Amino acid sequence: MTKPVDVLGPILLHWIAQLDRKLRFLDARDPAKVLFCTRAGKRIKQQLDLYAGPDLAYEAADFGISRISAVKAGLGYLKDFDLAFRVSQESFGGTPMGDVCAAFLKNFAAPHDPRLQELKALRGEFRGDNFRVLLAANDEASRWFRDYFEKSHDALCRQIEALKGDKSQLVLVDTGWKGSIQRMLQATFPEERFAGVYFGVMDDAPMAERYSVMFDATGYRKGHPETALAVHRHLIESLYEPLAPSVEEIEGGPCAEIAARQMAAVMGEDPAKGARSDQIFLDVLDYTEIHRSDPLDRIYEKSHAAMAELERIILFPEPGEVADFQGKPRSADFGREGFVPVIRDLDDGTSPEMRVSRSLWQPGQIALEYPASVARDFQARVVGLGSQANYFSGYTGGGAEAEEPRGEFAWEGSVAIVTRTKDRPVLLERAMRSVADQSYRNYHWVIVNDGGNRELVEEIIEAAPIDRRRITLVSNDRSVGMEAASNLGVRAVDTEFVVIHDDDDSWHPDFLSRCVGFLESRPAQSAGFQGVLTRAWRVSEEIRDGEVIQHGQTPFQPWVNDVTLFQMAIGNFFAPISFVYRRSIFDDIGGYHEKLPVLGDWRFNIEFLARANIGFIDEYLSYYHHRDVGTGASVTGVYQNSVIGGRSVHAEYFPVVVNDLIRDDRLPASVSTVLAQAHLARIMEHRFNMTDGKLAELETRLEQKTAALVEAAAAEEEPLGVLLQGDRDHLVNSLLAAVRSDMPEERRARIEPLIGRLHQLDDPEVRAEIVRGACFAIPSPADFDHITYLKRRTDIWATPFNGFEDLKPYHHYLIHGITDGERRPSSGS
Amino acid sequence: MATEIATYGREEREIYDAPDYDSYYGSPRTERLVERFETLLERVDVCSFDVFDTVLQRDGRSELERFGDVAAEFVRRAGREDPELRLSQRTCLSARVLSASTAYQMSPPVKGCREGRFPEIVQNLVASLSLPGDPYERLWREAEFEIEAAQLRGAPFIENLIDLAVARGKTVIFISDMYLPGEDIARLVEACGIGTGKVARIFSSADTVVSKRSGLLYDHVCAELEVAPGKMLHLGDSLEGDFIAAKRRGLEAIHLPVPRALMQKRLESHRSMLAGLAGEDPLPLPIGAPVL
Repeated sequence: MTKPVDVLGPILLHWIAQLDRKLRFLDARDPAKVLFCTRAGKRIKQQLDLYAGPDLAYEAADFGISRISAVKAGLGYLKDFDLAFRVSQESFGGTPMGDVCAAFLKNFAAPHDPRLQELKALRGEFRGDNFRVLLAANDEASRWFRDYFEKSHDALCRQIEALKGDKSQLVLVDTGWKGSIQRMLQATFPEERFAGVYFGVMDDAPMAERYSVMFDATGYRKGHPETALAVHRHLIESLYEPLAPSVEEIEGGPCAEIAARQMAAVMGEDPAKGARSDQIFLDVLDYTEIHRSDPLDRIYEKSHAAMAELERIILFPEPGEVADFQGKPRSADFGREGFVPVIRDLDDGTSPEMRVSRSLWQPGQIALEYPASVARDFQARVVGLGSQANYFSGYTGGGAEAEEPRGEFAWEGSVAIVTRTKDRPVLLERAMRSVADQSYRNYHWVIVNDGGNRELVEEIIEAAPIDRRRITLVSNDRSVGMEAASNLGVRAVDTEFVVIHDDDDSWHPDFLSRCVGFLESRPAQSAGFQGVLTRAWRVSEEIRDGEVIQHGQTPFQPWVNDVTLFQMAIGNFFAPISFVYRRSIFDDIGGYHEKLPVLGDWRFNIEFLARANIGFIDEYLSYYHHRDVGTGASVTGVYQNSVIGGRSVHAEYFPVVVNDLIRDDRLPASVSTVLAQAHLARIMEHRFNMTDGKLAELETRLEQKTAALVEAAAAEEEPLGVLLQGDRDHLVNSLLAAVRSDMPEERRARIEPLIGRLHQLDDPEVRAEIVRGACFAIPSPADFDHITYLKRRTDIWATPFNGFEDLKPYHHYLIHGITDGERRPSSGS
Repeated sequence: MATEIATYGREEREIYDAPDYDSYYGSPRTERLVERFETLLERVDVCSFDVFDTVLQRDGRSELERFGDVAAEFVRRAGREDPELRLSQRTCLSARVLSASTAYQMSPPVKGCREGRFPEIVQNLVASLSLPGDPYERLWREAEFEIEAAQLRGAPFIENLIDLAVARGKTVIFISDMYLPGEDIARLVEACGIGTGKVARIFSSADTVVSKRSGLLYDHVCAELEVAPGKMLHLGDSLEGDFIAAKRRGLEAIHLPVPRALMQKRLESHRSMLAGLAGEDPLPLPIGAPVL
């Protein structure tokens, strides 16, 4: 059996050699301070020192940091609240607010501190809005909590300044995955420049100056063995994780002593005292020391060979390999204690499926749960290599040779894009851009100028950013009709696939790529799919002054989920722009029926489905444009759609198509049966449509009635912008009660002159003067919901209106809220 | 009713199908190309040429083989500098390719574009070989320049087009997507016997970071020269960078593809190099194979 160091040694030596090269590069470009982030940074540096010697070519330091300490700094002064909260939530999940507070303060607060108890008593959900309000509140516990974060922020700021010295950038080194610490530090200290070099990156969100060394992928990709580590990143985490808890406090911060102790524990850890994976790390260090002088090509070569073996082990481990490659249990961080096992105990009382779903290394768990005969298939499925569809064609081993790439003009995979046009340069130009923007390039664009101005078409072709070798112009001196034009275009070139791209429609850039990929896929071929349909947007537009103006888009025929002959027999339900098919079927049918002025594509589709299947891609990749807005030429002239402009012609030719198909002896008799059944379905559909129409009419009337009722209710609601009677009474009563009460003379002297002005409370300036002058005598009424008010008015957090001295959110409402048009937040409302 | 069928790209197809550059550029078939060039030239003020595989033609060697030759030459020169030094061509070639990959990955993006720069690549590769910068960076730069110059040749047909453009009073410039800075490209052009006196400017993505492929280098050039895109004609071998991107930016453009047979030779050279580099195991260096 493979010894772990035989596989991991070469890979991790290559990683450390590459890391050294990349750090040198960054430092040469801009003088850098390289910071090895705890905890993994400790062991990474230990290995790097063995490889490159203790005198690195760049300045380096150990950096006591963790996600939770970066979060604490980000919460200070709310410098980076959103990201800090998001990172916290990833770890805390549905933990109640009080427990989150306790986790943040676990090293800071004495267990019986009443402020901690007060915070712990918060049993509400840990949500962004609640947390923000808590951090902005001014009760003693909240101020104490906030102060802790502010001190943490200040300490980290000092630490970063000291570490940076005269360098122009700080380069973080860690095992990686998302680079959350880098992202948070950059947001919290925007005046500094952070970069990060990581073993691997598993994150789709873009981030400046985040560099991966070994892989950058969110999951395994066949043909890229290194991405297998995305399936079991814990293997790397585990090897580099020291035998010491996370550094959760900040040097020189509110828990400076604890921070120093935590840092010392990490730096002083001894892997020799650890378990199996720590021993593997020591073996890797030995390997690094022995091979540190190997030339880099040798290191690269050995790493590549070992990676192929590691890919096999991670994806398809044998039971005997699981113990060596599982790594140690993952230690909880983020203020929590304990460990999460990588492989679940087989006797934990749950089902194998449950254990696999909870395992940190699913293929490893599967190897232990199931006999080898079935384990391999399950393993393939969990890493995305197997499914019901490719049960017999799954993973065949990492050494599979890549297929010979096709030539850029290969017939296999080539697509004829046929565009019929006649004197619609504005639309043809858009169609040209749609074709030019395709990410799939093996196409041939055939423009059929059906009796229109040839020069206009040639001008557009000349300007096209399309390989000229891929363009053919078929020009008729007079129109031959839509179907004959299609046939001319399709037959002008020889390709494997065909699609009709009318001059008024357009595609998503990945349309062809997805459609050809589908038709060439093994499952599609075995299912007999000779054509494929995608979803389409129906775009509503008009042409005004030579410009296309779009008015909106809605899903076109959103009920379509598959393509059956029966459904097609009822009526055509897709546009040519969404349909790619094999030319061989076109040849077999004999092309589009040229005698039909309309509905030719419907007839073609029925004949197609009588011969072959059409697959369905559940993605909106095409745009079916309709000039159905505006007047004049936009809807009735050269720019009209055949569907919009020729509705009556469609009705006229409908029976012609049906009858011709029934009489066509080249088609199987079953097609006639289907058409007959479709006729009944159409009758039913017509009835349903009538009923739907009536229901819609009733619905509209009901909505109108409801709207009238809502309007009437709104009119009765409290007015905005004026002092409400309840608040007026409250103000007057409070002040009168105050002068009658036993209060200090100085305060009484402030109130008395205001009493005479109480009749002027509707004047905002007078009201402001009275409220400011007598705020100590005006308590918040019990029904005023100050939390809701604070959520609305974030601008008054940490201002005197948030509880300093005698001012309260209610006073802000009286002075500013009313004139700002705020609705009065009342408890229970 | 009459139907006419016109196929486009005849000249491009003829160049692409030719066995080598000379078979096409030395034949009378170029007349149509010259005609098209002159027609487009009429409409513009500035005429721009791509450099590598347009003004300067490469042979059937792949980039990997060329770097291999550079590595071998460097090993020879480094050995002369220090006879005790033990370097292999394979190690130096790997260092060149890996450093280029690092430089590309880690160079700061400009408007979303990245470009590795030759001086940084050389600095990093020499450091990777644990050699001091002085004199080895200079030795590598010299070796690479000389190998490049030896394996390139000026294209007489393109030189004629340049002369034609100059004679018509057009401003002639070169634009290259390349890790070499403009001044190094100028030296190579001169070394291949094409005078740069008639060339007003040489733009390289190594200097601007933005590239032709992204289209942004064309914007940059038009702004620098204060010329409208429609008043500039560009010629080059890359379908994406020299033709499609130029057309998207509103330039006139002519695509001069590399003959397929030559690309096939380069692909074979690439594969044969990789096969030759394999030791106990394959050495799949991160360098793209020529695309047919």
